[in-house]
Parts: sequence; C-alpha cells; structure tokens
Amino acid sequence: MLAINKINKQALIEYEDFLFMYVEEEEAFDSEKIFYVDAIIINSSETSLFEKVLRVTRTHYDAEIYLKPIFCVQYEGLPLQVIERCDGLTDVTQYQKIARTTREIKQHIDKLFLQQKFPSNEFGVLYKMMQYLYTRNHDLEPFVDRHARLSYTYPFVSLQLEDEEQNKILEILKQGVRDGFLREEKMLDKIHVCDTCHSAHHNIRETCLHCNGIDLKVQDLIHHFQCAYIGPETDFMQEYTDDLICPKCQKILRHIGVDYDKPSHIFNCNTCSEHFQNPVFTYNCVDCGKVSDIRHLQEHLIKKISLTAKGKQLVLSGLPKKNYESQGSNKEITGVYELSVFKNILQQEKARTRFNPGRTFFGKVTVVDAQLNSISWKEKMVLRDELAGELKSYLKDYDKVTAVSAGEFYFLKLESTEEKIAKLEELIVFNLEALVKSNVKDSQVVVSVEIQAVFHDQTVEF
Amino acid sequence: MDFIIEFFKYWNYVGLGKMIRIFWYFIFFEFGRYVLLEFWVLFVYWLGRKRRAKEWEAARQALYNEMPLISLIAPGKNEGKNIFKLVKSLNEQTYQNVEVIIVDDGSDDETPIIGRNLEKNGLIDLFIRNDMRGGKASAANLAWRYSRGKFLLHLDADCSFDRTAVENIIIPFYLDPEIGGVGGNVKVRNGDVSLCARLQSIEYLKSISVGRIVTSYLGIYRIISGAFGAFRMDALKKIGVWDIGPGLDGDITVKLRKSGYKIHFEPKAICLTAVPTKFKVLWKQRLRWSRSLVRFRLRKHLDVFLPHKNWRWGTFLGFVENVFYNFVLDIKWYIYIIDMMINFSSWIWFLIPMNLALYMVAGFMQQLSLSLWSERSEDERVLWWYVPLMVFYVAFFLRFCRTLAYFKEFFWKASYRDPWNPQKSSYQALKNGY
Repeated sequence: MLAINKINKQALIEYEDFLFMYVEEEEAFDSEKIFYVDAIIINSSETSLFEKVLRVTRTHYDAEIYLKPIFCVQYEGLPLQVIERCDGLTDVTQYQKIARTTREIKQHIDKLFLQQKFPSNEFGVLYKMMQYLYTRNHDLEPFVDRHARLSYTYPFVSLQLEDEEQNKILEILKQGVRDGFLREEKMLDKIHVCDTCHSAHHNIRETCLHCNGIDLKVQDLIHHFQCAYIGPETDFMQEYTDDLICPKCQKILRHIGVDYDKPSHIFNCNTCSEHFQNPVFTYNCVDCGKVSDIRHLQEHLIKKISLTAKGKQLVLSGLPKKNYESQGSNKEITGVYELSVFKNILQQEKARTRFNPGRTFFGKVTVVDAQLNSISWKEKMVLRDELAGELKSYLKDYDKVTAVSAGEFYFLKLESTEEKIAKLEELIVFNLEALVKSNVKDSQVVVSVEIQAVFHDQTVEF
Repeated sequence: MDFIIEFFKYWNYVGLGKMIRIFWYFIFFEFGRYVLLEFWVLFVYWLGRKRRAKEWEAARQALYNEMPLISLIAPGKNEGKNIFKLVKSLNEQTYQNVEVIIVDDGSDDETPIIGRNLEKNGLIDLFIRNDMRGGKASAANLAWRYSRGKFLLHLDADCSFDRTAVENIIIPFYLDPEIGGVGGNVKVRNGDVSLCARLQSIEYLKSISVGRIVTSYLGIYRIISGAFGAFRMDALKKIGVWDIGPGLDGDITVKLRKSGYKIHFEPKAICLTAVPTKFKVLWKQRLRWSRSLVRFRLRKHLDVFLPHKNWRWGTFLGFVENVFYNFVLDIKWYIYIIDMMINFSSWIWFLIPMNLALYMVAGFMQQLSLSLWSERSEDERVLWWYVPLMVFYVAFFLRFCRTLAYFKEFFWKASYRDPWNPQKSSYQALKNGY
C-alpha cells in the first residue's frame, strides 16, 4: 500500500507499515517530525540538504533519531561523502528495498539498550558509533573526503564532532580497540596531519637548508674523467651551442660513461645563494598556515573498523551503572560541577564582579601526558575524578571546579588576590604532576595552569 | 771480544783515505746532505729567528685586520669514523672565519649519514656526496668549486689540528704575496701503537718537520702535503686545480711552482695524522707514493729540466735533488753494494758493522736536531730508543719499496692500474698522458 501526502515539497509516504519522510528542498525539512517517521528519503542533488539532514539527525541526543535510516535518491554526480553516509541509494520506485532495509535497522534498534548517560563525551561518541555499527550490521569504512580535516570521513562518527575536533576520532577508535569493543580490520591508508591543527591538508615542498627559501634550482654535477674537473652542469654549458665543454681543459664532453659521468646533483638556493645536496622537506598547512619540517607531521593509520562481540554485548546491555554514575560523575565531590552548571555559575560570578572587581579568578588546568592514551576509559575516569578532587582540595569550599576530561579542568577562585593566585598555580602544578606520576606508569606528565581575573565585561574562553 | 779488537785494528790499519774510498756514498751523499747541510741551514735559520718573529707578528696582524674567509675542504672516501673528530678539531681553531666543506667520494660506510647530520646541525657548511666514486682529485676539485674563501685548506679527514694550525698556515701568505701555497707540519698521532708507527714518527719528523724547513729555506720545497696544505684561491684557479693522482699533492705543488708562485713550509702549523700501523699496509702506501716520482717528475713535468719561459732555478734544483736522491742514488746504492761485494769481499764483516755504526751516528745527530726544533720534544723523547732501527727501516724497507715502485712504474706504468683511483679516470689519464 502506497500513500503520499505531499505538503510544500516535503512528503510523508506510507508504504506497508512504514512512514517515510520524503525531502526535496532544504526549507521543507522539518526536524521536529523526524521522531515520527521510520526513515528519511532525500531526493535532491544539493549536498547542503544532505549535510543538514545528516547533521540534525545524527547529532541528536535520542538514539531513536540519531540511528534513523536515511536514504538518498540517486543522482548523477552525487558526491561520495553523501552516498557513503546514507543507508542506501535508491530511486523513487524502490520502496520495497527501502522498507526492507528500514525493517532490519529497526529490528536492531529495538534490541539496543538505549544508554543516555556516558562517562565522557568521547565515550558517548564511541558508544553511539558502536550502536550505529550494530544496527547497520557492517563495518565502519572511512572514505576519502577532500572537505574533511583528516582528508577522510568516517560515516556517522565524523558528524559527532566539530571540524576542529576531528582528530579525536582516531583517538576514540584506538581507545575502542584497546578496550576490546572494536577491531581493526584492513589498513586503508596512512595520513600525515599537522601537529598543531591536525589537518591533513598541506603543501609539501623542498626548502633551503639555510634560509628555508623555496626558490631552489637543482643541477646535475658533471665529472670530467680526463682532468678530474667536477662541477654543476652550467659550468660545462655553452651559450650558443649544445656542446658540453670542460671549463678546466676546454675539451668537449662527448660520451657519458666514457668522457664523463654525473655522480650526483646539487641544489642552489636563489634566495640566499647557498648550495646543498639535501634540501629540507617542509610542509605548509593549508588550514592553520604552519610551516614546519615534515618530520613533525603526525602519522596516523586509517583502518576499516568492525564491532567485536564485546562491543555488541555492550550496546545490547548498556554500561554497568558504576561506570557512568559512581566513578564517572563529578557530583560525587562537593564543589565539582558538570561543565554546563559550571558555566552558569561563571556567568553569575561575572555579574557579581561588576560590584566586586579583581577578586574572582578563572583558571584552566591542562594535563598533558602521552601515557594517558594507554590507559582505559575506566581508569581515565577514575584519574579525572582524583585530579578534580585534588584540585578542589587546594580551594575553599565556595570555589568551583569542573572536570571536562582527565586532561582538562576549570576552576573559579573567589575572593582571592594576585599573590595568592601565583602560589596556588605553583601548588597545583607540583601536586597534580606528582599525583599523575604516581598513578600512571612511565608518566612524562606536564601540568600547565592559566589563570585570569574575571570581569563582568570580558568574555572567558574555555 | 776478539772480533772487536780485530775490527778496530782493521780500521786503524785502513786509515782515513781508504775509509773515504769505502764509504764515499755515505760521506758525500748522505752525511753531507742530511746532516751537514741540514745543520748548517738550521743554524742560519735559527740566527734569523728574531727577524722572523717580528715579521710573523706583522703578518698575523694583517691577517686579523683583513679576516678573510678560509675554506677548509676535506675530500675522502669512507672517512665516516674520522669526520666528527676532524670537525671537532676545526671548531677549536683560534681563527674562526672559516667554512668547512666535506666531500664524500662514493663512500660505502656511514659517511653520508654523518656528513648530512653535521651539515643539518650547522657543524659544517656543506656536505656533498658523489654517489659514484671519481677519485681524490675530482673530490677535491668539487670542494674547490663550491669554496668561497680567499684561501683554501686541503685537509685529510683522518687528521686533527693544533688550535693555532689554521691561523699559522695562513700567516705566511701575508709574509710574502708571491707565496701560492703553504705546507703544514704533519706529525704522527698514533706513534705509540706499533713499531711500524714509531719508525714513521721519526721519519715524519726528519723528512717533514725538519727536512722541509731546510728545503723551504733553500727554495726547493716540493710537496705541499695533502693532509694539511693551504693555497691561494686565485692561484688554484690559475693552475686548474688538481689533476688525477696518485701523488696529486706533489703534482699541484709543481704546477704552482711552474706558474711562478713561491711555496713555503710552515713548521708552526701543526697537524697530527694517523699512519699505517702494519708494515704490509705501509708497504702499499709507499709503493703508491713512490710511483708518483716516476709518473710526475720524470714524465708529466719533465719540462722542468728544460729551458722554457716559466723555468725557475728553485723548481729545477728541487727536481734535481728529488730525482737524484730518490731515484739515481737508489739505483746507485745497488751498484755500491755490488762494488763492495767484489772489491772488499774479504773484509765485508768489518764493513757492514762500520756502515751501520756510521748511519746510526748520523741518525742520532739528526735526532738531536729534531729535539732542538720540535715543540713536542718532551713527548718525542721515547723515539730516541728507536733511532738505531731507523737504519734498517730506511736503508732496507723503504729502499726496497721505492725500487720496486720505480721499476713497476717505469716499465709498466703501474700507477694507472692502482685501485686508489677509479678505472675510468685512470684510463683517461693514461690515454691523455696525465
């Protein structure tokens, strides 16, 4: 049975026992109706429409919505980043096929434990991705995307993070593999990303060893056997003929291997006039403009990812309660708040400083340690709470702390002075470093603290 | 005991006249040249020390007023293990306006990695690698091609230098503007490793440290050592830099002389080098060195003996001295031995000890002059014990080696088959008479 109710180029299509949202134009897409339909069919060649629909659905907090099947009608020239992220290509007559796929996905969704709380944002992304993989019953295969910061887009996952956070995808996947939820399959590619902005878009070029100039000229060196003269090709070249003539003995070089050979080459920098054989290969990041030695690029492996039995089990039964409440909650420690609550308190404090300026301070604590990557999510959460508790212990009862992750904390220090703040900074760095080192094996932790006074007319950046 | 009594009785009976008849070779050629002449020249040289010190200080001031860039080049193959030591030694120099250029002539050891790292870290200015070996001359020429200094110092990578070596080897250019090349004072660094090295320590002191003061003073100094030699850049350009070796250091010195430049030896510019520690290796090295006498002095630069527009007395006499003492007397020595065997065969057992004794006395006298002149005489005191052995080393080991080299080069042009040079270069050199 097929019934089409078309309203302003957005149609609701009833087919068998399913209701599909049929979208042709961006303006006609009604995000509030998504919950009530079983799948979305997009019939447009406009990439922006796909982007909007995908972003609205896949980033929704409700699993019923972010796992919603999305199909697209086939158009010639439809970009890969659209096709790969949909649940299937179709045409307007293939409702049977759409219904079958929708049924399969829905059956899988029904089996899921619909987890609402996660110990961290990153784990939330991982968990949602595992749900997606389970419901689609296929592997996660990234595809080349010239618009993506990493030059690869991971279906579903890439949408969960902002553009500048795309590098976190790789870390999240690695963590999933370390925890046994995911398995790395075939290696698809290696990417090299900027060590500052994690972009894979850069221009690689040979630069001068001495001045980093890019205006280089390379020439062969010519060795004339007979007189042992050796120099760049231009030494032998003539202005009006093609002959090669030795500048030392004036003999014509006729035959390579007999009269002469080319044992090597040399670069000449037209900027500083220096000579060298081995230029430095540098990259110029297209996104952040950084210029650096290519050795500083970070190498990542792009692999196909599949869900393990342990991963399946997790999405079917959900996280053990202690993982996201007892150990993962900031509320356990007095004065340590969720980030959203902390932001509200900060706004209130900003308003208060209008009448009491210069006595409230906002601090950011960053904990950087490569070894943190090797510990599990659970251990990270425990460490995060320990560090938050430690940080809180140097503050008064009325001071506020929030922990974003095991590496990122913010605090509000009320009724203090510049002098006290300087001492506090030292105290935090020393003690938090000691705490991490005692908890994490082979730790090379570096704790940094940035503190600024809060004023009512200034914005505070996280 | 009876033999000693008989020995003295015999020489008492023979008398001075007949003794001169028997040992004419030693008395006129060896003692006269290497003891009497050298003592006399060194004495005159010593007398002029105050004047030289004043001139030296003025030249030093001139050098530091101008502060010219000096290019230090070290061409070589498989010198990876020595390069860092060399660079360290150069970084310690009192004169610092230098550029360091290292050319790797097709090494198959870790030289490229080390050289590139040194270049990348700014410890040297330029590292050039030839993937295909071209020979020492081409490597030196390549370094010269990219040198920008007013003076160029050719160094061996296995050498290290006194802190003032670079300064001291350049100062002579400011003593006399006609000087085109200056040879450094090359001494042995690893003399305590073996007997072979000890004997070479004495040999280097005699033939270089003192011998070259004498030849330089007399204007017949003929080899600027490749291990440590300085050249004026314009002079190198004029003479067309290095030609194919072996023996290219002697060759370039002759080319400079033939072009009218003066050559100077500077005893204060001290370089330490590692010498072969085994006689077998030394034998090969000396075969190669000795062959160059025939190849360059008697073939390539034979025109030195003939009148031409650039003919110079100093160059001519230097050649005559070199060819006479090394080539003619080498052959003459065998004739002398045959003469002794035939005419004095019954007294041969008295002749040999006396001959050895005379050479030893001369050796000790030379060692005395070395001790008076050397700035490291304390360290070199141990060498006195080895002076008696020098008789055998010079008279037999070096002589036989030399003779064999001359013979093979004279009749078979063996130097063109020496693997020291790549075959492609040697073939062209032979074909074109280089």
